[in-house]
Amino acid sequence: MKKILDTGNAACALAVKAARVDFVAAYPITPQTSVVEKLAGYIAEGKMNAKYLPVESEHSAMSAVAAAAAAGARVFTATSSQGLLYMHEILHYAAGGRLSLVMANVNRAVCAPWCLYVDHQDAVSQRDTGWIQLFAASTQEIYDSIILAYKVTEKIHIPVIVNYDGFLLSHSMMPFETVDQDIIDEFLPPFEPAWRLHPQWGGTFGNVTPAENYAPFRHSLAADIRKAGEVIEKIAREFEKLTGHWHGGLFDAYRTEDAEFFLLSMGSMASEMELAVDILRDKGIPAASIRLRVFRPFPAEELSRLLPDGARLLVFDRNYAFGTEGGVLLAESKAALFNRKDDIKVVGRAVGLGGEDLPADFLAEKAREMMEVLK
Amino acid sequence: MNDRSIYPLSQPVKGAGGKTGSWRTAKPVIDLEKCSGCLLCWLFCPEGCIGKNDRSIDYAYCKGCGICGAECPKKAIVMVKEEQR
Amino acid sequence: MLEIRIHGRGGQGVVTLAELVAKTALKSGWEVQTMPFFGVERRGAAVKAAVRLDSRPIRARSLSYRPDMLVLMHENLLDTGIKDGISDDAEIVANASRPLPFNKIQWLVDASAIAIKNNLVSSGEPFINVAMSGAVCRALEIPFSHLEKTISEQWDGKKALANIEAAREAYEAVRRIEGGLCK
Repeated sequence: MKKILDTGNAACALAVKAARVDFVAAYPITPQTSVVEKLAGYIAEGKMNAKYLPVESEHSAMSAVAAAAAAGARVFTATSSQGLLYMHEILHYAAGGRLSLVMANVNRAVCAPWCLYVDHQDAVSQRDTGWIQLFAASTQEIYDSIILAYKVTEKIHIPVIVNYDGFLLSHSMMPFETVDQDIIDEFLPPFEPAWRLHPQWGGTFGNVTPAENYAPFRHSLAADIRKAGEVIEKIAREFEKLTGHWHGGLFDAYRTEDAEFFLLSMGSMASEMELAVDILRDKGIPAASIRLRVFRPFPAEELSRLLPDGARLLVFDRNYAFGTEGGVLLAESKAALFNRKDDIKVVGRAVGLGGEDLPADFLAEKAREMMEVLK
Repeated sequence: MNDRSIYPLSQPVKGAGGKTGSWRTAKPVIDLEKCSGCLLCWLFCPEGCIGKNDRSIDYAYCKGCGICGAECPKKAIVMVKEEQR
Repeated sequence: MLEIRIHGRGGQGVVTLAELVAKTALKSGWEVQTMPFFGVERRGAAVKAAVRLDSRPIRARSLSYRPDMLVLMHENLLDTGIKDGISDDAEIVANASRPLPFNKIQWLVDASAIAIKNNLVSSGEPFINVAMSGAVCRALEIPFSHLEKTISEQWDGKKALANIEAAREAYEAVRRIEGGLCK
């Protein structure tokens, strides 16, 4: 274990190297660039035994890593914003093909207008591709999540996106502890895929199917991703046992004791949210923060369990679900709590779009506005 | 068309990036005696800081990149280091 | 929590200065975070970066609005909004030879001269960020040996030596003045 001070992108690249990834294909985009720069550097310097394929687009990057995963390699790619949108078609291929794959998405707003700064529209726009999506809130959590994601994807054959906020996490430096290689090797043994595309086998995958063959694949993906939350939690506990690193289960909850108002958010905003909760508590308002770490599968039952009878849920979305009353988390939370018989109430706001800065006093003020609405 | 929060449109406006003249470490100085009026400096200036009619230099916005001096076939533009940076 | 905000120009190494200060503070037992200004990187344009120091893990994920210490790479930045959010109690660390017209406690050092003396010059411009790290660490009461270690980890051999020398000179030469008076 070694404590170092570096950026979120550096933590991500170090974790990919430590995971002994075999194959990287990526196309640079702000604010992801330094992740793949560092990986290209490790590979060129012989510090990482992997093949780096420079590609001409994100569509090709995802196609290349999906193909390499089908051939049985441990693969990685990273992107942001428009790059992720450009991958969209192949994201469906990768999940439908039940490939084991890990991608970092450095969250950034989408065009137009053009914007380089953080929000979650890129990630939530991939909501229904069948990928697992994690959200980190610190440099340490980025490092740990990448390693955990490989264990998860290789166990249940569903690809994983590790999301972290552009600039606020990708470019700011925070101390994190790297894990010794022997511990990672124990946690993450060499990848043994269930099947491999190989010329000697002479088969293909993702072939054309009529409905009676197609539908069962979709039903099994839908069922398996719903079970993934439990797997993620179990693997996180296993990682904690080896390293002492723990960031919460599907949610990271803060000051929930006697709380009435629960402030739900994800990403870097959710770390700052704890300071907003402190501000509200100092004013005698029984507030708590719940940070969503696993966006897909959406932990609906766990959310409901966290909220006592008559709770007030204040949802902070860094995105919009256009055509609904607010963001994606608001819609999902309401759906998750629909069958509750108590007088639980939910309200939401879209904040922090395009990198709008979210200091604690601003978040506390927004929370108070939402409390007024619920009165 | 006029609602700035509906259509993401923009047109170039003088000084939209602030007074970029403060970025300079050296400024171009033109010697009009040597200048032949070919206007290559005007053509090459990436910031549009050289007047087409009088070849005056707008120091409020000139970033001091030196392209005008490098392009001038008469060597009529020299870069002079700014005082104290 | 202690917040330091650094103001400089693109190309002066403001982000590296933030990194040097944070790495050195980490060695001195602080929890740290750097929060650079996120803009288009343009040489000569006014830029800023922040460093947070705390005794507890840092949960803030926002920009710096009310810094406790302001680091100024040059006087010519005075009209670029550097004073936004700073209280009268905030300490100033500046690359300047004479007192600045605001705030009481000022740490002044001629970092440009120190950089030139140590041959830390590129395209005729002195690299002042490492010298400034010496002044900042002094103002934070961080032992110089910790900064020396940071610099020797950051660069190799000869380059490290010149930078350590510049940092040491600034660490020793920086003057603390109160209300425009030398002390």
